[in-house]
Amino acid sequence: MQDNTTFDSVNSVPETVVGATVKIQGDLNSDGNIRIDGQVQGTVSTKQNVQIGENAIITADVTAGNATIGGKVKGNVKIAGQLYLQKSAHITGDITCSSLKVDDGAVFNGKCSMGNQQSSPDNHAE
Amino acid sequence: MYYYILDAGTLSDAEFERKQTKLLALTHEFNIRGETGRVSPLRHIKDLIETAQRRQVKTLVICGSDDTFNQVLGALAGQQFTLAFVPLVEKTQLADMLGITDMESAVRILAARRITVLDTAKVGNIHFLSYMEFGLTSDSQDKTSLFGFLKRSTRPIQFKAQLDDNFEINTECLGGLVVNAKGWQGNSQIGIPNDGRLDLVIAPAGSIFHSWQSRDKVTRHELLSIPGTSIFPFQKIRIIEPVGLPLTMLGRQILRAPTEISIAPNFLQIIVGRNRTF
Repeated sequence: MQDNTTFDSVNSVPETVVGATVKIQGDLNSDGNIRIDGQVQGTVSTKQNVQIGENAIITADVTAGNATIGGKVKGNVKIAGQLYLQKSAHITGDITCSSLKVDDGAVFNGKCSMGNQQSSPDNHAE
Repeated sequence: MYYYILDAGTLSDAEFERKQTKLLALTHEFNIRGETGRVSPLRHIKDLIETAQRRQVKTLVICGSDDTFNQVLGALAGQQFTLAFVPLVEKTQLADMLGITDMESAVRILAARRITVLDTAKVGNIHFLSYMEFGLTSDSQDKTSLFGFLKRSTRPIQFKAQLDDNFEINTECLGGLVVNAKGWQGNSQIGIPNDGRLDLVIAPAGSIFHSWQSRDKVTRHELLSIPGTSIFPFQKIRIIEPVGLPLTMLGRQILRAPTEISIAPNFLQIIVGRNRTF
């Protein structure tokens, strides 16, 4: 089945917001959208969208429906839908997603697996 | 059957008599008369609730201030009533929350009997409907004066809490709120008292200039429009540090950290207006 959502849909209203001055240790699980501008050590998990700001530092596995990453992530990133790596993104870990968009300047060290390849002709790394 | 708990609070006798007369006229007009009990040094709120219980009353109408409502909520001890509120003072947080503008609108809302089931926040056996504040947001005296504000903003709080036994947060902040139901318009994703969770809202510490610029937003609880504000929905919070941090409600200190606040889902049946904030 074709996924009609766009990368813009990741920028929806967050339910959980981790401000730039906040440090989290543990499992950040949410039913809604998450925006992170601070630091997280542990795991980040939601079925909805995750936005990781350019100054965020995440030492955690990230599991989400869709994600936009602009900060540093050290851990595996498992996204059911779309993953967008912005130019400031720095990822050390393996990526699993259905579709991937990478801006020029993003750094990624790890393996990338993409499933659901028949869902859309656009579902390939740019 | 209605049971009206009347609390003069800080009103003068003359003012209270005037309000009581007006209330009786309105309840007569809307055909929602009932028994009344007045809070006095000899008849505490708990006594009045027991009387209502003996009379097998279904609806307790709390007439007074936010403080009256909170005292009733604290004294209910699991007894099942439908609650309603009639403000006897000018400005109350609860009236704003329930969509009540004045005594007449309160009686009109009571007569319409739009009943909703709400969560409460719970600290031990004490329940509250609205929100608790800490830090700058809780300071009713100093938050708009320059010197009071500067004094606090140059001494940010090193806040530490554990949420839902899942994760711990550490941050330097100006203050924040633990919200079940908000008493202000806007910020629609927080303070919804029937979503089965509470919200922690934290205003970040920043430069003095940033803090001074933010003071009106802090006063109006518009923390979400301050850049860097954090929001965490949760069901249980344990505020760990700073030890001794006062948590206030309506300017009155209720608790000190370390303390635990949790959600009591669907605890309260209450009559609400169309223009409620949730």
